Amino acid sequence: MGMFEFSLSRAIIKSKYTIILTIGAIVGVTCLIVITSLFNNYYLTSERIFMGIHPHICLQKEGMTEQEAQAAARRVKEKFPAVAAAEPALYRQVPAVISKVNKKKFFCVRQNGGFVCYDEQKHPPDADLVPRFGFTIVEKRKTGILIKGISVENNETVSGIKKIINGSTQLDDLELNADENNNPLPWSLYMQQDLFPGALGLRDFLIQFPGGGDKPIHFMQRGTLGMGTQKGKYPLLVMSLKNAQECLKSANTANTIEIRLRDPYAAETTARDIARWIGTGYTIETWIQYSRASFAFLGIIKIMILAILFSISIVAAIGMVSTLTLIVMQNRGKIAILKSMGIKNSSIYKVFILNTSLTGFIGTTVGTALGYLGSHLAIRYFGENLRKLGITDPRILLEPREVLIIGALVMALFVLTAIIPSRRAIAADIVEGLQEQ
Amino acid sequence: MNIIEIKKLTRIYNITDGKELRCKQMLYKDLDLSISRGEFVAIVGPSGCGKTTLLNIIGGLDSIGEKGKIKIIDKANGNEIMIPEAEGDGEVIIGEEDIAKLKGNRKAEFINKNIGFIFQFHHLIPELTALQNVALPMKIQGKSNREAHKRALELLEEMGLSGGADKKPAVLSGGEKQRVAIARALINNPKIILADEPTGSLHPELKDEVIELFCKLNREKNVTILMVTHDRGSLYDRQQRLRIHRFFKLPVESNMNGRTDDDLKKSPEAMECPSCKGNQDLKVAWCGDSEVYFCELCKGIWLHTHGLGEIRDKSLDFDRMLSPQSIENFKN
Repeated sequence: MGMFEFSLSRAIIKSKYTIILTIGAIVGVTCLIVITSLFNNYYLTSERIFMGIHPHICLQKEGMTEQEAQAAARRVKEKFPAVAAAEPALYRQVPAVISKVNKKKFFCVRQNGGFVCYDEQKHPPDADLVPRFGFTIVEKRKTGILIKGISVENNETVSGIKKIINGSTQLDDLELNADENNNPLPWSLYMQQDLFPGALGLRDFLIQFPGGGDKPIHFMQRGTLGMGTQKGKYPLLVMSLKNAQECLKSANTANTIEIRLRDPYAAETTARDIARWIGTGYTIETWIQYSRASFAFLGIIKIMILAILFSISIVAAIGMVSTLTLIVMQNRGKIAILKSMGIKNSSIYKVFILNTSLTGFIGTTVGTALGYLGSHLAIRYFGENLRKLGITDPRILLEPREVLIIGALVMALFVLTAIIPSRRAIAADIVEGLQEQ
Repeated sequence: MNIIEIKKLTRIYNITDGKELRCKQMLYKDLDLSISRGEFVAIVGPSGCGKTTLLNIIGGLDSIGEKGKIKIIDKANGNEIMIPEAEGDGEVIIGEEDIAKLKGNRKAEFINKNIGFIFQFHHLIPELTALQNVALPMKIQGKSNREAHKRALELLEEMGLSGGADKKPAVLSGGEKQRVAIARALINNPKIILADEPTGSLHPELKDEVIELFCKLNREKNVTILMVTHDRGSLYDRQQRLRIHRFFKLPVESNMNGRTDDDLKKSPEAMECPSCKGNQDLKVAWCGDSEVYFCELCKGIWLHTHGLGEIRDKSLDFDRMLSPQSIENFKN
């Protein structure tokens, strides 16, 4: 069925056009597959990041001692089998000055129990020099900051925050920095709301906040950036509970119980059960509530990507319609000859639709195969770049349903683009066509 | 029994200069024509008198009523309006079917089953072989490849072209191409063959061969043949031998006001171009035979020129093509 029309389409549509359209379809499907796979990676990574930043459930109550919070956490863990871990924490919002800084090597001379430091080119020639690192401030802004002091047991945290650290996953390794007086600084993670975390490499930040004392406290941090890390309008500064208590001058204080669940997606149900059991006085939030805006943001990105792909498809479709219309115009004579022999309108439709369907089918099949290969190559050769973009574990992530949808869309697009040229061919004046031939 | 019945066929063309309607050129007015089954009719007449158009209308390739659209400026209010390129009226009955009333697939099926077209320039599809070209109408009818190719081969053999079945049109001679086109027109055993100047592009020796072939088909298969031709003289000579039953000379009364070509040659001034009536600007109309054309510039100036095709193509610029001197020369 349709073999006659198909053989006719080969006479009417020159093979160079078919080849161009097929190449277009292959490139289009390949790009769609690679983009879908990469976006799925990004989505999965983002989900992991959100879970990594926030505990699955947070119970907050002001005025608890660390021991009281510890006891409450233990009770929750015993009562609810869904809870994998529960630990006390201290969350506090404080004003701060955050500076982006560049590390710089200085050459210092001991003087009066302290150091006088010089640039590399300017130090005194015969002095007993001690190399030291300092910072030059690039950008400075006043802001608020949310400090999260969390429990660290054997280098592990309730929120599993290690997952989102670019570079070392040893929390202790982060304690490499020192202030101007060469005192080691407490480790912490500064998180800034950026679209592409670490795209430009790891950054150093200097964070100052009053800390309850006379002297501002300076932190030199490796910037670990991630979407959805902002709570309210403030960026996060994550550190150990001990360091947070010290910095905030709140010894032996905790106001939060962080809970990790065996199934993160059971957070809403478990939170309701805990709320019923624990009684009044606690504010309860889940990671889903924390990250709702972030997931909405991801959803928007997904819609935007789809919209862009749709726009590109529309442009491609217009191009295809133009090409096929050009083919019709070039072949008005042949179409007129066929009409003078009594070819049916349905056969003229078939001539174009069969051709574009075959093009679409080859494009989808070859494009899907090349898409898988392209995804593999993208990960192999650009894996490092992807990691900088926050995709920590890039791999081919495609569901059969997604491949089927792409294939169906491409096929539908190709079939639909044949309709307008077919209608033009049907409507073409036979006498004019014969005169042109 | 009439197989073709044309009743009161009228066709008028609207001639514009790209902006305004310049004149209405009447091709036929109330044309009547009846052709019986098995007749071989040659349609003759001067160029531009509508022979091919008549064939196209009979074959359903051209419509009887309004056709095409052109945008002009309405003189009355200066607005742009759309008018048909051509308009007309009448009935064309083929067998028992009014061809004007057939639409879409029904019309396509009717053409495929009943009418075989042969054109001056063969109109073979260059990408297909002679065999595939001949088999096309049968495949359009839904017959299998095998059946269509078998029948196509038989016809090619009949036409003396069995050796060229696998050749593409580009490597066939003019006569061979025309024989392939004839085979294609015959493959569905049509009741009517419409041939538009089938010998027009052929070498004189081949012309006789093709006309002989038509006569054979008419004689042996009783196919009704309508043939448009310019080779009136040679056909008159061969009328008896080739058994052309009659010549239908298209009346050109609209263009020539009822006068014959000879009348026109004798006294062109006496002619009137009805389409130009009432217009003040220079207008062009064309009338005449294949050798000499008489054209009226509507201020009463008549021109006589050669090369109708050129004039028709450039009709809108015709007044600019002619120098005032040439007009004066003609007047004198």
